[in-house]
Amino acid sequence: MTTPPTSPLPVLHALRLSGFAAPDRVAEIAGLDEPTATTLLGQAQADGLVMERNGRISGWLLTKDGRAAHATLLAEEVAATGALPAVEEADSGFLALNEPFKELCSRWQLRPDGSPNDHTDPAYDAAVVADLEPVHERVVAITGTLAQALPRFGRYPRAFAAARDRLVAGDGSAFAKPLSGSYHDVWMELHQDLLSTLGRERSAVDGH
Amino acid sequence: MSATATLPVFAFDHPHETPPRELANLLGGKGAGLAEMTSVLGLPVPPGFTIGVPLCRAYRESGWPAGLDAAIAAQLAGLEERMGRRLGDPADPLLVAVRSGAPRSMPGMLDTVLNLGLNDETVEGLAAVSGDEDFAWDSYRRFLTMYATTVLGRVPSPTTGSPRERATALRRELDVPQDPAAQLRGAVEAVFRSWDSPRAQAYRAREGIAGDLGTGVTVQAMVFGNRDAESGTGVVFSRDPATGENRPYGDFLPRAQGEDVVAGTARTLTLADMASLLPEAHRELTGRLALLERHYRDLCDVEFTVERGRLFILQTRVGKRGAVAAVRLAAAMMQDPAIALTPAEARARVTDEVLARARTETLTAARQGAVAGAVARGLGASPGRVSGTVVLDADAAADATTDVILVRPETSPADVHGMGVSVGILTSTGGLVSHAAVVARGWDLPAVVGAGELVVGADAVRDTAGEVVFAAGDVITIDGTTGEVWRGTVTDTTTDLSDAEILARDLPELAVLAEAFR
Repeated sequence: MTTPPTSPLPVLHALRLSGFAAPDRVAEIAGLDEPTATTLLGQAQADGLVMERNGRISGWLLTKDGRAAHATLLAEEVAATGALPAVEEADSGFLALNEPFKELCSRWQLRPDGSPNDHTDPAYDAAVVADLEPVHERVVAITGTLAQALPRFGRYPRAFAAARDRLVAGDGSAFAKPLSGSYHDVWMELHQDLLSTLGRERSAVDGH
Repeated sequence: MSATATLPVFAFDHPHETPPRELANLLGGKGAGLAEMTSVLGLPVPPGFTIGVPLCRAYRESGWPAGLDAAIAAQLAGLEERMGRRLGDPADPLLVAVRSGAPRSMPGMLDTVLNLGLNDETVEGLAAVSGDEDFAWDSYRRFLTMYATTVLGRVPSPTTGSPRERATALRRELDVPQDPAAQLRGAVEAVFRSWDSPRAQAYRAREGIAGDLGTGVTVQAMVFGNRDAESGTGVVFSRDPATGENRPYGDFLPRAQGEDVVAGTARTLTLADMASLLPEAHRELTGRLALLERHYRDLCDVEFTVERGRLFILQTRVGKRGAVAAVRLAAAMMQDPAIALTPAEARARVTDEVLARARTETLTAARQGAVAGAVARGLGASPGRVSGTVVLDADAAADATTDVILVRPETSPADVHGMGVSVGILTSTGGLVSHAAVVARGWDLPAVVGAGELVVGADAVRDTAGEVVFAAGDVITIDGTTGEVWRGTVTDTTTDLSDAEILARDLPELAVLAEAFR
C-alpha cells in the first residue's frame, strides 16, 4: 500500500519525531519538498491536527488531536506493511546503543572534570568523534536493515551520515546542538520513531 | 631433567632472576604480585604456587599440557610440606584457593574457587580440627556453590537449614568431584577456559587487550578468617583514599572470609575496632603498611586475613584514589623524606585532568551550601546559576513573556520548543546523560536534573510528603554547577572569597604541586 499524497501522516510523523519544527525541517524529515510540506501542514491545521507557533520561537507542533490521529494512521501503516518484527529487532539493537551514545554526547559537551568542553583541545574532541564511529556504524546498519522492511527508515542512514560528515569537517554543533539536524537530533527522532511505530510510550528502559 | 623443571610452574618464593613484579607476562598480575610480596617484601603471605601464563596459551592451542599434572603434583607436595597439612587428608586437610591472574587485570574471568580440597570426608576432619562443625560445613557449602557456578557453569538451587543440611543438599544436587586432585585440575582448567568466556572477550575488546595473551593460575593455601573469635578479614588502605589524610583507613569483619567484605553483605567494623579486638594483629598490620608504602612509594591497598590471631597478607596493590586525595598524597609524599617522590613521579600520578577535577571538587564543595536554604538538590548538569519564573510545561514556556525555568519530571523532544526559550531547566528524574542534560548543554542553558525529592505535578511541585515546594508562577533559582534549587532570587553573597582564596584555604597542596611542576 502506498500512502496517498494527501495523507497528513508524513507531516504529522515529522512533527511527532522532532516535537517542534519549522516547515523546512518538516519537509526534510518527511522526505517532501517544502511547498508540499507547507500545503500539508495547512490542511492539517484546518483539521485541527497541527498548530503553528510564532513568537520567541517559531515552528509547528502537533495538537492533542494530531497526536491521536498520528498514532492511528501510523498503526494502520505498520499493520499494512507487516514490518513489526523488523521494527522490534531494530528497537532492541538501538536500545543497546542508546546509553553509550548519550555518554558520548556528555563527553562532547563536558570535560572529565565536569567543566564545559570549550573545544580547545583537538585531541580530546578527536577521541570522542573516533568513539562515535563504532556507534555510527551500528546505527547505520540497524536502520539500513530496517529500511528494507519499512522504507521510510531509509532516511536515517543518510541523516546520520550528514551529521557525522559535518562533525568530521569541523562543525562541532553537528554533535548535539538542538533543533539543527545534529546527530543527537536525528538520534532522538529515531528513538521516537521506533517507539511511535511500535505504539509505545517512553519508559525507564528508554532512558530519560 | 624432570617435566616439572621445564614447565613454568613456580612457588611464590621461587628465586627468579628478574624482580617478580616485572614478570607479569610470565606469572600474571596476581602471580607476580604474590611472588613479589613473598620473596622481595617478606610479607606473611599464605604459601602457594603459580601456573604460568604460557601454560594457558598451550592449553588453548592443544589442550591440557603434557607434564602439567606432574608439575602441579610436585608443587603441591612442597606446599603440603610447608603447611604441615595434606590435600585430602581426612584428619586435618590442606585447603587451597585457585584464582585467575592475567598479565593485565581483567574482570569477567573466573575469579576464585575457595576451600578446594573439601569433600565428604575432609569436611569432617576440618570440623574436628577446628572444633567448629558449622564453620566446616559452611566452608564446604561455599566450596560446592563456587565450584558449581564457576567450574561446572551451574547455578545451584537455594538451600535452607543448618550448614550441614545445606551442604548435603548441594552435594546431592551437584556433580562435584570428591577427589581433591580432580577438583584442582577442574578448577585450573576452568581458569584456562574462562579466558575465552564471553564476558572476558567483551572486556578485552573494550579495553584493547590482545586475545591470545592468556592468564596465569595461582594455587594458594587457605587461611581461615572465619575460624574462631580470634579470626577475621579486611581491606585496608595505607592512607585515606578519599581525603588523602595520612592515617590507615579500612574495614574489618571478624569471623568472616574475604568475599563477605567485598560483597558488602555484612556490616564491617573499623580499624579502631580491630585494634581493640586483635591488638597484636593490628599492630603488625600497621607496621606492614608503612613498609609497603615505602616500597611502592605510593598509597597501598591491602587485603588481609587473621587466623587464630595470626596475620596473613593476601593481596597488596597501589590503591585507587579520588582527585583531591591524589593531589594531597602527591604533595605529602614529595615532602616525606622516607618516600621523597620526585616532581616527575608526582606529575605522572597527577595529570592535568586530576588537577582540574580536584580544583572543581574543592570549589564546588566550598560553594555548595554557601547560600543557605536550598529546597532541593539534584545533579548539576549544565553549569551556571539562574533565576526565573516556574513553568511546568513546554507550551507555557513558549507563551511566556518573562524569563522562565522549565520544570519537568523529564524531557523529551516534545518539550524542546519550550526548553529553547527557557533560561534554565530543572527535572526530577534522569542523570547527566539524560535528554534534558544534553539539550540544555547544547544551548548553554543552566540545568539541574534528577532532583529526586521533587514531584512535578500539573500546577505545582511537591516534596515526597505532598507539601508544595513551589508552584507555577513562583520565582526559583537553580545552580547548574552544584545542583541546588532555591525559592526566590538568590545571589551569591558567599563569599567574598575568590576561587584562588578558597583553594589556598581548602587545598593548598594544589599550589605546592603547581610550583613543583613548573
